[in-house]
Amino acid sequence: MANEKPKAENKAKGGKGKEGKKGKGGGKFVLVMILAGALLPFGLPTVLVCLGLLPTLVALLTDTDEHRSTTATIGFLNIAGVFPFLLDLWLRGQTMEAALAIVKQPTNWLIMLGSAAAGQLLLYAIPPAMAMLTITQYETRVKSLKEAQEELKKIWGPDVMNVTGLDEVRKRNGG
Amino acid sequence: MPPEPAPQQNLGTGLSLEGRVNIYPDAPLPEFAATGGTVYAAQMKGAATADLMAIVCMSSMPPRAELASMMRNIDNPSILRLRESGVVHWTAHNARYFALAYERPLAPRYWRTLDETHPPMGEDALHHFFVMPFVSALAEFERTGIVHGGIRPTNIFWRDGSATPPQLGECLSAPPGISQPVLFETIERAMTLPIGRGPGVHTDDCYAFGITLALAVLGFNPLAGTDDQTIIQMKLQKGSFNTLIGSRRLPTAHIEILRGLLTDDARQRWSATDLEQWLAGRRLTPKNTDAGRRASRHFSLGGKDYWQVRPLAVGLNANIPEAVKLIEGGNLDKWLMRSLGDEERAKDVADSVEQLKNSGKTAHYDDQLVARVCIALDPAAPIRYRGVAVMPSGVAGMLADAIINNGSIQIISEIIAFQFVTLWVNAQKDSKVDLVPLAQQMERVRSMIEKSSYGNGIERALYELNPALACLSPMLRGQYVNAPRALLAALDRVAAQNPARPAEPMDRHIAAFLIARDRRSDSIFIAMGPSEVPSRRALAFLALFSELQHRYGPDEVPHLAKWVLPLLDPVVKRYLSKPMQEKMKRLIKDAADKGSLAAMAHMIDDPRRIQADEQDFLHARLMYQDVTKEIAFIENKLSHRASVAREVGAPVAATVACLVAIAMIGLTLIRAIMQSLG
Repeated sequence: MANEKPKAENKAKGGKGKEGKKGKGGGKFVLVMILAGALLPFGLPTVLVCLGLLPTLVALLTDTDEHRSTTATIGFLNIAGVFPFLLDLWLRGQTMEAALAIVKQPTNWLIMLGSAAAGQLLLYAIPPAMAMLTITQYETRVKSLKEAQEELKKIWGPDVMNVTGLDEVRKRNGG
Repeated sequence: MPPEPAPQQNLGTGLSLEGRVNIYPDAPLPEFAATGGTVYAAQMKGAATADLMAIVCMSSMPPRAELASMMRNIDNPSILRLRESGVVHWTAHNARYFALAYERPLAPRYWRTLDETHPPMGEDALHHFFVMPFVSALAEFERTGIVHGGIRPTNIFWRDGSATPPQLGECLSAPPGISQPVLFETIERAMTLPIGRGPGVHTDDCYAFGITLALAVLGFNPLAGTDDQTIIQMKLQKGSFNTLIGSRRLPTAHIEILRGLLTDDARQRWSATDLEQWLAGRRLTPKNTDAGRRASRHFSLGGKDYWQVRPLAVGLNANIPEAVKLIEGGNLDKWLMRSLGDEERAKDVADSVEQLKNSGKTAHYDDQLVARVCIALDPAAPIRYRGVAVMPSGVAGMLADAIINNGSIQIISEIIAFQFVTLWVNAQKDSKVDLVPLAQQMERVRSMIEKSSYGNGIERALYELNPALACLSPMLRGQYVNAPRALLAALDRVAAQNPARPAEPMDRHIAAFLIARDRRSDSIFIAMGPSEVPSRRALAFLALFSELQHRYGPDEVPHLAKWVLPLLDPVVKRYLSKPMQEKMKRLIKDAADKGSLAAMAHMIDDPRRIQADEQDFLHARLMYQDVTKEIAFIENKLSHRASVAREVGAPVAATVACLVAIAMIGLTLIRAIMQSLG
């Protein structure tokens, strides 16, 4: 449902929408390339271990949220899951053997990808809970605002709702 | 029979006349009956005996209250001494009346009726005991400017031939001339309706004295049993002196004084000054100009032949349709020119007809035409219009009488509106200068009548023309409010006594009365008009009454305040805040309970409070609009719950993930450090 509006907007924009999407995807690709390029100085073994950050990469490429909350949630936990192996690699001297030893262990992949999955789990659990809390707050606020309006009407009469001139208001009140 | 001595027995409970005189309602004195009301025994406060008589003016005729203070200062043995005057609360009627407390006359009435016969008096006795005291009384009136208006044998207290000076009876309890028989009035005033005679002039009193003297000289009334119209006709045709004395033989001195007093030309008539000169021995030679000039041929009208102008004017007025034909056919003009040879009068008649045609005032054209022609023919006579004969100075009294007794106000309004008074004044040749203020006043009043706003109209004319008249508002009936200072107390009493009182303590009479007596601007009264909004009217009432309370008191008028209170509801509703309205109601009710109109006005018409209320209202409006916007914003959010979850929940999830990640990385680093350290 949340995606309907962008879709409708894209529909309204016609062909230009596709171009825009294409352009956005291109930008993300450039970003990935830059990140990958940035990892190169750390060496190929590090890059190899960083394959564990693929969920983050996927999240980055698919996240349409303006604030990149999805990417951040998955990314932070994914990084936290990959970091022990990177640290282990760097402590072993960043060799190809050490890197291969890490990537060969399925449990390592479970940890790295599982951490990303934990992030996704947070994304399933927290927003609905927060939404429920916020909506309750909103409803309480609306109720109190409506009460305030009723109070204003009680004190000043129904003309407090409109912009009628004061003389006209007095005339209506019988004054 | 001498009057009863002042009764010493129990007179009952006395009613206080302004705290100075006690009037005893249980002790009427019918032998001193007055025109304007019943006479009762009275007594000065602290005096041993009830030697006063009080005339309580209960009749529907307005008393001459404006002359009371001047009359109190007159101390002449030939004039009944007025000791006190003022308003008395008559408990039996639960009403207030104007009352006059006189010293009781020393003798009975000289004549009880005008049909009596008395032995003729000797020349010397009459001269010393009758003429001289009355000349002194007339001189006093001339000096003070008072016109008695009621000099006649039946209003004189004297014992025939007594050396004690005769005393002129009272003259203030009713309008001047109202009870004066036609016989004692000059021809002009005799032709007038009694209520329309007006105050008259000093020589009118001299004329009445002349008639009284003639009756005293003769010892009888030669015109007893003659009807008023015949008396007027006789006076018109033969003159007053000849009508009364005729060929009767009288002493030369009497003839002289009577000719002087009874001359029908007001300019030639003797005044008190002339009488004093005559008494001092200076012989005046009164002209015999009594009978009007006769024409060479008669003028036929209504089957009668007229030889003189003045009777003809009477005849024209009595035959309006025929008179109009004769005037417009030029017959009257020809008669005046050819038979009477009076070109000046013919010109005056032609001018007045021309003026009417040019004025465009075509309502009651025939009546107007004849009235105008009659003024031109007989300028001294009263204004005669649609069956009403009134002297210009009597318009005021006639208007008051019409309003008090539900008479025809319309005719009097027309007399004013058609400017007959101005025309009459312009027709007076010699005395015109003295009468110009009267014409000017009538013109001012005419403009007031033409205004229909509150405080103007015929009511304003009434109080402007009658400066001493009490307020005739129906709601003040029986209260005798003769000055603005008495108004609030009277309204308070009305409010207390009359549960079926009118909705508002104000009407056109009270408004006009206050404008005329208090010399007020009529702007505040315009705000009281029926077309005004209720809050403005109520505020105008309150502003006026609170100002009157501040100026004249009384300090507390709780009943009036409660009368005004419901009228202030629309004023309270000017406040936009409901709690403020409740507060104002409470405050003004408290002030009303204390009877303070000023406090009520101060509370309810506070500009700072009104302004603050307006500002608060505008702030409340802005607040309401802000709240409405916020509700709309939140409701919009609530209608997109998924986006709320994304917008609020996703950053929270990211934050949690961030914190967990930091913790995990931190633990990893600590573990690594620990391992490296061994």
